[in-house]
Amino acid sequence: MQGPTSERKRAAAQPTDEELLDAARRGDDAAFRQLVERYEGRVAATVIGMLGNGEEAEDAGQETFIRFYRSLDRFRGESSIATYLTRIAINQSLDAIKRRRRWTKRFVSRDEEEVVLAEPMYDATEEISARERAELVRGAIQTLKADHRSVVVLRMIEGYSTRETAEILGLPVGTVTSRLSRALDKLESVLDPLVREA
Amino acid sequence: MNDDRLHTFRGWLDGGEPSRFAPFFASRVMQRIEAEGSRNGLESIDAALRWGFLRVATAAVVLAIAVGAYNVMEPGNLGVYTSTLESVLGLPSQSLETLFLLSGA
Repeated sequence: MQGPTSERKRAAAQPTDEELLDAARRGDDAAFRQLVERYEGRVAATVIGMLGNGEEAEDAGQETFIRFYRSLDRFRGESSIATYLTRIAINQSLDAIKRRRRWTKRFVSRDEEEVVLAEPMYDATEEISARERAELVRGAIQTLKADHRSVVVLRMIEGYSTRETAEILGLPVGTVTSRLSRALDKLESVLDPLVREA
Repeated sequence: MNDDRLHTFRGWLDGGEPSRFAPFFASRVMQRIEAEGSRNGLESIDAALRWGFLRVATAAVVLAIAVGAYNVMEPGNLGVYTSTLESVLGLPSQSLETLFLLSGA
């Protein structure tokens, strides 16, 4: 059995982000891999929050780390690695949404698109578990406009403050606040029975 | 107001599974980086070859022009050639008779 002392020792033995960054800059791929393993959960939360769980999110996640790898020499640590990666992940996700929109415009008729959006998200008469409720919220986030979704993902899922969200997205704080307000209105209307229950 | 609603939705989200990629995500990222590295290696060889060829080709063109100019300007060649092309290439026209003589036929 391992006590808190051995856990502390193990944590102390773990290289810091800066040590891993330095090693990765010197061409140590194992160090970069450790950074990927350390931050993949964070990037997953962002891209899956933005794009839903699927191939698009996996691609955006991989591309986020590849871009980070390419910019290792340029990364000077003005922001934390987590914030830097989140910024790349949001941009990758927005690009993916644009590509998806172009594809949908080209190959899916407007009628089909509306049918998908109009489909009821759940049966309000059924009792739902906490897990199902979380899935419903994730699904509702996917119905938001891309610029509103990015604000919700950063504020709600990643837990950034309004000011930090504004910095990551390069927007004024007021714009973030108003987008968040409108996004929450939309979420409330989509999840209306759930909100009324609460 | 926003904070209360945000808090409620965040609480609901916490009841679900955390978002994660399929297993071995880091391996897939590293494979892509390696593949990109070898592609970049091939691209740099290709670029070096192209650059090398350009230099050799330029030098060859300059040399050819210099040799052509020498052939035209060389005082000993005056009157030997019947056309400008012949004088540039330094190839005097040969009669059929001369060719027979050269081949020893």
